[in-house]
Amino acid sequence: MGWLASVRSALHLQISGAQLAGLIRAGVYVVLGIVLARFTAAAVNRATRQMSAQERVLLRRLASYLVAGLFFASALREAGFRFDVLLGAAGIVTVAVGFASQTSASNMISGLFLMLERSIAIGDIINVSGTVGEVLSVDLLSTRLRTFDNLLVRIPNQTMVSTMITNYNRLPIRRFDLQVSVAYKEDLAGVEQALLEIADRNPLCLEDPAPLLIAMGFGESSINYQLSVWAKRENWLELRNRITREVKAGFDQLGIEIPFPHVSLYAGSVTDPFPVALANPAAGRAAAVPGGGPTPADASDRPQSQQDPA
Amino acid sequence: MSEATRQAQEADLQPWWGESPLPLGRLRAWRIGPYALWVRAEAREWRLWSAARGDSMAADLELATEPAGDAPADARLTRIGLVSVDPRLSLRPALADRDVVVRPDIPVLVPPGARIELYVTTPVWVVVRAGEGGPLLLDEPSHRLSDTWFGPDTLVGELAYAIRTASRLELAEVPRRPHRAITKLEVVNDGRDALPVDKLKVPVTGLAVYADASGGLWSDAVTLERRPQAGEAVASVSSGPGVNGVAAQRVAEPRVATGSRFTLNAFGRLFGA
Repeated sequence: MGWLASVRSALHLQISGAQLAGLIRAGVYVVLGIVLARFTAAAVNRATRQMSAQERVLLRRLASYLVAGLFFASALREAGFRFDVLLGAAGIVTVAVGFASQTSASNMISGLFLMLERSIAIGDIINVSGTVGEVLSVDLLSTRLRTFDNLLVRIPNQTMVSTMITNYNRLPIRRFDLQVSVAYKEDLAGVEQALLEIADRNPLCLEDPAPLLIAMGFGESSINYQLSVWAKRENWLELRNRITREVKAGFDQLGIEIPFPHVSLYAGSVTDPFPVALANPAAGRAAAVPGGGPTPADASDRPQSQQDPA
Repeated sequence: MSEATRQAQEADLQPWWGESPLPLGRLRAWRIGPYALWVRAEAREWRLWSAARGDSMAADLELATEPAGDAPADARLTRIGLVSVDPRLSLRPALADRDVVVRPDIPVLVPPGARIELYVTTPVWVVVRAGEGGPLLLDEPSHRLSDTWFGPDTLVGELAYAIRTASRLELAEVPRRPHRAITKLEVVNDGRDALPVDKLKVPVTGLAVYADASGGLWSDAVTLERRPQAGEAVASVSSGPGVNGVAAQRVAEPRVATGSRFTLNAFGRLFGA
């Protein structure tokens, strides 16, 4: 064991040969523990292919942490740590650590609740307080999301448990509500028939649950409808785009007006509404350019609503 | 439908499936009802264009014709790369890749203790391979069916395709189309009250496809049986079209291998109640 003496003298350590051998064994245990923990994680990963991604991650971590923990404890023992002393001090340490890590402990417990509740899983698209993204992982302390603009969002598990989460992936079909406005002059029976036929023609739109048409009421500038159509979850976005395009095209073809917001000026019940007419478009354009102001003749042609009330 | 019309429809049919050689670098076109397909084999890749043409009941049939120009620009192009291309093309019909929910235009009422025979036609999928048993190149519906949900609510159920049909009770009334397979459905009502057949699920994924002598397509016959016990129904499949006088040859296997009596479950999962 001459080399041990050389190492001791080189490091100027006041430790015995047995202590040094113990430290070396501890080092070997640590390295072995890391290697075996990784091997165990890979083996668990292979053995749990039938499970969900969430369950696989949970089992993989539990197995690898267990193996690494056992080897780490063995390494501490080889290094000369006495566990009876550690356990004796554990009460004091627990109080100190407890005060220092209230938030972390809360997050860990919340993380366990999240995993047990299974309301979210890795790969789900969720909305947490307005942040929408794909769940990358549910760790002990936090849940990580990747937003659609590729930002990584870390949300503490405590927040995840206490806030409202919307999961877009959990159910196989989804509804899209299209708000449609039509002019007051339109024949509403024809409008309703046109909307339902458009939904009927679109193969992405589910026949059952059947499309639903709701008259939302009289708006300021239009009569408002809601066309609710269902689609397979994966087709939801495509249906949303297509049905909007098809309603616009269908209305254009049938001459159904989708009105812009507009205001009618009306003086009261005893007078007719103000007539509005564009008398001279060319003059109007001339007035819009610098130096092209209205002539007295233009002023006389202005609609009544733009003239002085007197 | 008159007998003359039916004979004319049958005369227009001919087998469009099977294997055919394809000259390298030359475009060939198929038209199977409303489904149009253009194929060109290159030295190291297959190019396939497909598109919908005409209405869903179109009866056109053109096989391996040489088109004047290129495939149309609006056709969907699929490229399949291979180390070397064996220029043989195989076309096969297959039934839909999800079960089909049939809604008769006018519901049929089956009295207790009675049975009826319905005939429905469903569009087939065109399965294209590089030679029989070769790599799969394309598996597309000859006519895109509408999606639907079949279940008691939006939480429980399954996705299916929807077909509205006349659900004819007379086989002679069923129109013959090159891209549609006829399925004979026998509905047996052993329940205590009348059974309205306004929606029923045909488990087409478990049915094989057959062809008769005139080139018409059929599927295995299906029996949907309502049991006397409340809420129970069973679906069973008979091998072959199940129609007297129809000698049919099996041309495609079911997509999902199941037993002949493969569904014993809730009544609502077959009849949509």
